[in-house]
Formats: sequence, C-alpha cells, structure tokens
Amino acid sequence: MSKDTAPIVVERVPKRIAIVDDDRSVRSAMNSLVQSLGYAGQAFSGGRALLTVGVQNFDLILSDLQMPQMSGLELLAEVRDVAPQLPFLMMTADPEVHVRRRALALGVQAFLEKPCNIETLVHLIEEAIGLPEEWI
Amino acid sequence: MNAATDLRTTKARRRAARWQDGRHQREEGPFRRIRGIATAFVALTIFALDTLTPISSAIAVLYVLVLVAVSDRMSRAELWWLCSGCATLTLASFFIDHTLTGDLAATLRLAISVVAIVTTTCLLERNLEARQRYQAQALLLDTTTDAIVLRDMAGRVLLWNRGAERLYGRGRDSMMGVVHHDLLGSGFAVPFTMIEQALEQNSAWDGEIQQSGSDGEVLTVASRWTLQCDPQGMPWAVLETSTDVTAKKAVEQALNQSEKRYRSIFETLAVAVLEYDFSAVGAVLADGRRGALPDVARHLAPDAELLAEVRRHICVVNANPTALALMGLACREHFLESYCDFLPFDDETLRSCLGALETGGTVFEHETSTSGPEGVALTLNIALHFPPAGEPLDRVQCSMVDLTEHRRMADDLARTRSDLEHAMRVTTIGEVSATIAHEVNQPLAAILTYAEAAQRWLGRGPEHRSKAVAALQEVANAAGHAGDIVRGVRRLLSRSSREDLPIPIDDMISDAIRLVRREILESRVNPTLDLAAMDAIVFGDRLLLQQSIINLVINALQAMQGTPDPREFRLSSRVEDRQVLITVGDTGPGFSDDIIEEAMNAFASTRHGGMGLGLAICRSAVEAHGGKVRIMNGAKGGAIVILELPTAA
Repeated sequence: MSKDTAPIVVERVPKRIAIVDDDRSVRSAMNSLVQSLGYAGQAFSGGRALLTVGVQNFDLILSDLQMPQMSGLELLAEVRDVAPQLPFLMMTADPEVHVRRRALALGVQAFLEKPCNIETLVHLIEEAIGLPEEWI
Repeated sequence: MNAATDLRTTKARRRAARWQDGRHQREEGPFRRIRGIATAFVALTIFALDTLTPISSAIAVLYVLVLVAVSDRMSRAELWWLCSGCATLTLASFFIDHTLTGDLAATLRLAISVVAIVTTTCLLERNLEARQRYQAQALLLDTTTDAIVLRDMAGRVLLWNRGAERLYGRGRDSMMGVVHHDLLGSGFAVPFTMIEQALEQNSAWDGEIQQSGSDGEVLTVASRWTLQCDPQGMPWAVLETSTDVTAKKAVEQALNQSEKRYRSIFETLAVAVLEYDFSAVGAVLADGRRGALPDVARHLAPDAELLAEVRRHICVVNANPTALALMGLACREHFLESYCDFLPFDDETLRSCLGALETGGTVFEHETSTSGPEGVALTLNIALHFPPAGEPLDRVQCSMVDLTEHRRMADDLARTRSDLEHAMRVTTIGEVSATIAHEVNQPLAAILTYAEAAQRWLGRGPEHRSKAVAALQEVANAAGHAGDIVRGVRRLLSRSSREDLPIPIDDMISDAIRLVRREILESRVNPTLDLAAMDAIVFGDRLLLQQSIINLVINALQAMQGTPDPREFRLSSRVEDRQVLITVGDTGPGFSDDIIEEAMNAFASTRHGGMGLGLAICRSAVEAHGGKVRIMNGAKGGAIVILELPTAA
C-alpha cells in the first residue's frame, strides 16, 4: 500500500428519518422503531421544529397529519419548497378527500393509517429510501 | 150605556156594597147606651099610646119599627130580648085596657101585633145571619193575600180588597168605579175577546196578566176569573182573584236560564260528563241513617251480593257528546243502552265511594282503567259530584277526564328523557369523538410501534436488550393509558349509576383541558386559564363533570369559528360561599335574546348544524351534582356559562 495513496475509508452511515408527531408516546415509539430497524431517527413535536433544524439533513420525513400550529399538510408544502424530491410519508386515519388530493398533489409518497401496520411501514420506508445504511 | 145597564150597575153596586160592607157595625161605649135609652123611650112611647089613648087599632104593630130600627146593631140574643120586651109591653097594654071587657077585636089586634113582632124578629134574625155570613166573607176577602177584585160587566171596580191594595198599591176609594184594567195597563197573552168568550162559555178563565204596580214596576199575576150571575142567570159581575207571581216567574226564569246554561255546558264541555241515578243507593243510605245500616261502607264490606245489588241499581241516565266520543259512540240512546251500567269501579272503590257519600262527601275522585272503543284500554280520572245531603240523587254528575294520552305521554316522556340522557352521553362522545378517537388511537399506535421496535431490538442481538426492555415498558405504559380511556368512555356511555367520589375541581378541569388541548390549539384562539378553586372538592362523577367542561370548551371554540380576532377563550374557577364557580367565556356572537331562555334545553343551538345538546348535557350533569348552570352574555359580547357546584362540607 503506497504512502501517497490515502486509504479509502468506507463508512456505514445510517439513513436519517425525521419523525414529526405532537403526541409524545407516538413519536417516541416511532423513533424507537426506526432505530430498531437500523435507521437514525429523530423525533420532532411539530413541523416548525423540523424546519428549524432543516429538512435537507434527512432522507425521509414521517409526519402526522393532524397537529396543532402546523398541520402535516402545511409541513409538506413547506418541505416541497426546499426539497421537492424528499420522500414524505403521512400518518393519518382516513383523511378527507380534499386533504388526500392536496397531499398527493404535493408529492406525498403514501398515507399510513394510525395505528399503522408495521410491515407496511417498513415496506414503505424501504421502498422510499432503501436499506437503513449506505456505504460512504 | 143604556138605562138597563145603569140599572144593572146600580144593583150590582148595592150587592157589592152588601157583600163588602155587610159587617155588623156594633156600637161600643156611650153610643150603645144612648141608642138603648132611645130604643127604650120609643118603645115606652108606643106603650103609652097603646095603653093610654083610646085609639082602637093595632098600635103595637109599631114595635116592629123599633125592631127594624135597631136590629142592624144587635146580636141575635139582643134581638130576641128586644122582641120579648116588645111582646111583653103589647100584652101588658092589652091586659091593662081589655082584661075585663073580653073585647074580641082587641084580642085579634093583640094577636096580630104579637105575630107581627115575632115574624119581624124572625126575618131580622135571618137577615142578621146573612149579614154575618157576608161579614165572614168580607173578613176573608181582606185577610187573603190574593188580590180580589169584583168588577161589573163594563169593567168598573165594584170591590177592591186589601190584597188588591197591597198588590197594586192603590187604595179602595180611588179604585171604586174605575176600569182597573185600563189603569193598570193589563196585558194579556191572548186577545181580550177570547177571554170574554171563555167566560161566557165556561163562566171562568184563568191565565197570566202583566200589570203595572203603583211605582211603575211590571207585575206578573196569575189571575182566575169567575162570572157572577143573578138568580135569573144574567151575568152581573166578574170576580177576579189574582196572585202576584212576579218573583216566582223571575225564579222560574232564572232556573230556566240556569238549566239552559247547565245544558249548554253539559253539551259542549270538552270533559266527558255522565249523569248517574243513585236514587236506589240513596234509599240504602237512608236506611242506614235510620239505624238499619249504621255504616254502609262497613256494612257492605263483607256482603258482595248486597254490593252487587247496589251496583245494579246505579245507572247512567245521560251522557254528553264528549262522553259519547270517549266511548266511540255517536248516538246518546245507543250509549245509554250499551253503557247503562257503566261504572268502572271495582268493589273496593265502590265501597269507598259509598262511604264518601254516606259521610256527606261532595266529591269522590278515582283514577281507573277501563275498556274504551274496540277494547282500547283507557285510563280515566273519574270524579263523582254528589249533591248536598238531603237532595235527590237521581242526577249525580260524573266527570271523566281521559288520562290515557297523558299517561302515554308521561311514559313516553320518561322514556324519552332516559333515551335523551343516553343520547346526551353518546352525543357527548360524538361531539368529542375526534379527541377520543385520537386519544385511544395514540396509545394503540404507540403500543404497536413499541412492540415492533422491541422485537427488532431483540432481533439485533443481546447488546440491544436494554432498548427492547425500555420499549416494552413503554408498551405497558401506553396500554395502561389506553385502558383508562376505554374505561372512561364505557362509563360515560353506560346508564349505570354515577360515581360519587371526591373530585378536586381544578385537577378535574386540567384533565378536561388536556383532552381538548388539541382542539384549543387547532382553533387558534388565545386561551386564558385561571384556576383558583385551589383545594375545593366536589363529590360526584368526575367523568361526567369533565365531559361538561369539554362540552363548554368545544361550544366556545365552535362559537368563535369564523369570528374576527382577537378570539379569546377564558376558563376560570373560584370558590364563593361554599360554591365552586367554573366560568367559561368566549368572544363569539353570544346568546341571542330569543334563545337565551331556551339555550339550556336540548336541541336549542346557536350554531348552524349543532344539535344543541351541549348545554343540556351540562345542565343535566351539574344538576345531578346539586348545582346549577347560569348563562349570560358578556359585557363586551360573547357568551358566558357559569357552572355552580356545591363543595364538599
């Protein structure tokens, strides 16, 4: 191995998922789940907190629809302004038609019913961002 | 008037005068003595003429003049004493002048004189008897209360008794010779010619006459007329006997009007009224009062047969149209045939009824059930109205008020209230369903997620065991929270009795606010929470009061939807006079005047599309805790609802 040749460091970096839910137990549980799956999860109590941190730091956003201050739909619109391609999964129970239509128009990947089926959630996350880690 | 009529009138007046003035006017005191002395003087003068003068004629016949002159002032005994005296003087004069001569002519004159005296006395006695009869009749005429008028055929008054004076207020003197029917303005129900014809044919007539009294009042008299005829059969007068029936007629008229009014009421009354004949029962009671049956109710108690007999004798004799309609019949006769024995009392009730009647009760009221048209069960309130004691029992009124619909409505109301209370609870849940669903859903989601996470942590190796344990602990916590929510919802939905536990008010309000925190935040209002009830405790059902608070909060938030800023929501608590006051206020449109009175009732809503159950639920819940709800508009607008709850002692 040559001295000039710097060794190539390959690092396994977990993909980051932002979890936004006003309910502490839900966001905490979701965070625990995504971490158990191998992703790096970070929980936010509202959309405003996520936007403050910056959505570019995340590979996927998993957000509740009904939240005070800023709804999931409003958050999606804000995210689309800065990250048009960022995968976005919306958690809600039976959304109204106009909400669903608006969310689809803004590029939401999927709707997840709460309490969501874990297999479906894992499938959707993997479909959106692939395996939990990537080699850098 | 021709001469014949005049003559007849004159004769009639004389007869009437005799009839009316036939009283024997006996003199009293000094006049009687003077008359006696004068009579004695005349008699002695005749005696002197007869004895001392040589006149050979029947001088003694002149004693007849003495008798005639004074007889109208004497009694029968006095008349015969005078007769004896005159005869004695005649005999004395004869014996003095002719005893020794044996003069036949003188003896004949004596006999003629004595016979004349005795005959005259007999005639005078008969006259006296007739006069006494007239006197009695006249006395009778004045004693009677009837007005007796004798008039001639031309209508002029010949006799006017005291009764007539009293009735018409006109004296006898002023009425004599007057055509009284003209003066009194007599009004007859039939033409006068018809009355005259009746008199001519039947010699009598009777009928009612309207006449004027002395002060102008209208009198109604029942008059009976009798034609008076002389021995030749010629009518010479009409005797009119009249009785004042004005008051009687007024009473009769009043009675008639009263009867008409009663009949009108009976026929048109919206309450069913029957008339019962209790006469037979009255007879039994009368027997009881006479001692045969000392206490009818007690007497009848063991005797079912006697009671049945009494029941058989009680019958319906009349029914008003409402009663007919109640029993589904249109024809009264048909009703009386079908329901003659209608008495929906069982034996015990009938005994009580008879007992009430016996003890002088005037009303006996009883609620009973019976079969109506086509066998439909009727609930009736029956009230028997007995007349005062001693009056006939042949028309005992019985009012029947149909309570069937009332009872049904009362039952429906009770059922509806129960349903409403249940609906209120269910609706409460409905109104906050989003919150509850969210609250239940959240721990469920957390449980599932934590459980999955725990599995995956365990799957990743022992080094992740602590994370799995933490996740499982969170599963247990979330499951406990979900259980609390489910129990609370189940209790709210159930109709079981409420809990009666001490509730720290501010703690309870804080819990309620936590449940609607989401709605408060989403509504973007400025909430102000001022809980100052401190340690105040209210005994009751925590969940029910919590739901009341939730209702008020949701109402306030909904009331402010679409209203301009600033939109403020205030919730406060404090203690005043051992009452906890929980006040919820908003800056919405407030209560309109027309709804503020009704706002507490169910289904009165100020919100478009609202069911109006929120405040009704609150009121039910608060009243169940011995409190009350007050509503008002704020000084600066908006609605204010104050819950007052008594604190635990």
